Amino acid sequence: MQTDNINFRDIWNNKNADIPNIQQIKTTAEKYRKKQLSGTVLMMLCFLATAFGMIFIWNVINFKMFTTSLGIILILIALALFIYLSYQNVNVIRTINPSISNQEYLSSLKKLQRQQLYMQTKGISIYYILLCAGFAFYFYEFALFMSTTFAFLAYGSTFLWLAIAWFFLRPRQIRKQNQKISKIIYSLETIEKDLGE
Amino acid sequence: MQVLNFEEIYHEYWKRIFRLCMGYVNDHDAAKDLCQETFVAVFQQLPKFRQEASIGTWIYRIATNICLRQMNIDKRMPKSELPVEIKDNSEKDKKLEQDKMTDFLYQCISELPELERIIISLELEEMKQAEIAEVVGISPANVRVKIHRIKEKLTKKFKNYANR
Repeated sequence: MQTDNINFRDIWNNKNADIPNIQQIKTTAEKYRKKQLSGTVLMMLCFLATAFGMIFIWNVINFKMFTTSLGIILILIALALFIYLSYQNVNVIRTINPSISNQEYLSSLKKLQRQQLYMQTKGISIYYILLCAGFAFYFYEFALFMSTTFAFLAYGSTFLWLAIAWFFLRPRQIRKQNQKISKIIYSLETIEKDLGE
Repeated sequence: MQVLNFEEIYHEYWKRIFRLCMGYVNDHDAAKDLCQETFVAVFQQLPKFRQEASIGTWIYRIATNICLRQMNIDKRMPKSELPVEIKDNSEKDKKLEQDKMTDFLYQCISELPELERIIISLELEEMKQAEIAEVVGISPANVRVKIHRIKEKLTKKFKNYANR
């Protein structure tokens, strides 16, 4: 093989493949659009359901104490937050305009990943706090009518479960998110380093 | 302002974008998927394209960014196998030899760091260095230096390959 003056361009252009049908592209584009739309619609519905739930509780069910309603509302907010966080996790990368330069794209990706890291780790903690406070308020009215032992048992078992969630499940969830996103940020930084050289 | 037709763009650029993606991943199916992703994005973004850059620069930016974001899925994709028998090949067919060289070139390029893969692929697609600089977001001088270095690396690999 002649290696003194290799014509890389000819070798490069030798690669061939058949052009797929253009219709495939249009169908896929439409599928993406529908998927994105249905995701947004689903999230809006969840939020609407939460809002209606709150209004319903406030107006229709007549608890004697305000704390019970407050408890239910906090639990609903926690659930809405959880739905939002799960939704945010899907396909955020598509939100960046891909027609910017590689350098700008890499830094947008990095910024987005950092934001996501913050949302996922802090968001999970907020979710548990809301849920915990929600349960505490909700049980208060019922606990007043129970015997002390029973109230103690009800509160105790609920908070035991929440403690397990806070001390075991939450750190695990956070660690998992952290690992996943940090790995991506690290790869992005490695690529970015090449830009400067 | 020039009227842009998606079908024309598709047929004019598909092979070039495919080669670029092949250089990036060196996997036929993965490259086709990346190519599809690129043209889906082109199709969606075309009505918003303001023609501040040339259409080529714009499409290559989209394609390279889509390649770059692949690492979210897998940092290093599986590479297709290196052609094994080279010299003691009884097959005298020149075409086959040329195909092997092509496979080897794509393999070498896909093993480079991410940005180098992009830069050399654009250079091999006969893009001007100033335009490569626009796609990647570095200075033209830096592009020139990088191309020189990458070509040196590739030449060295080809020499080793020939001497095997």
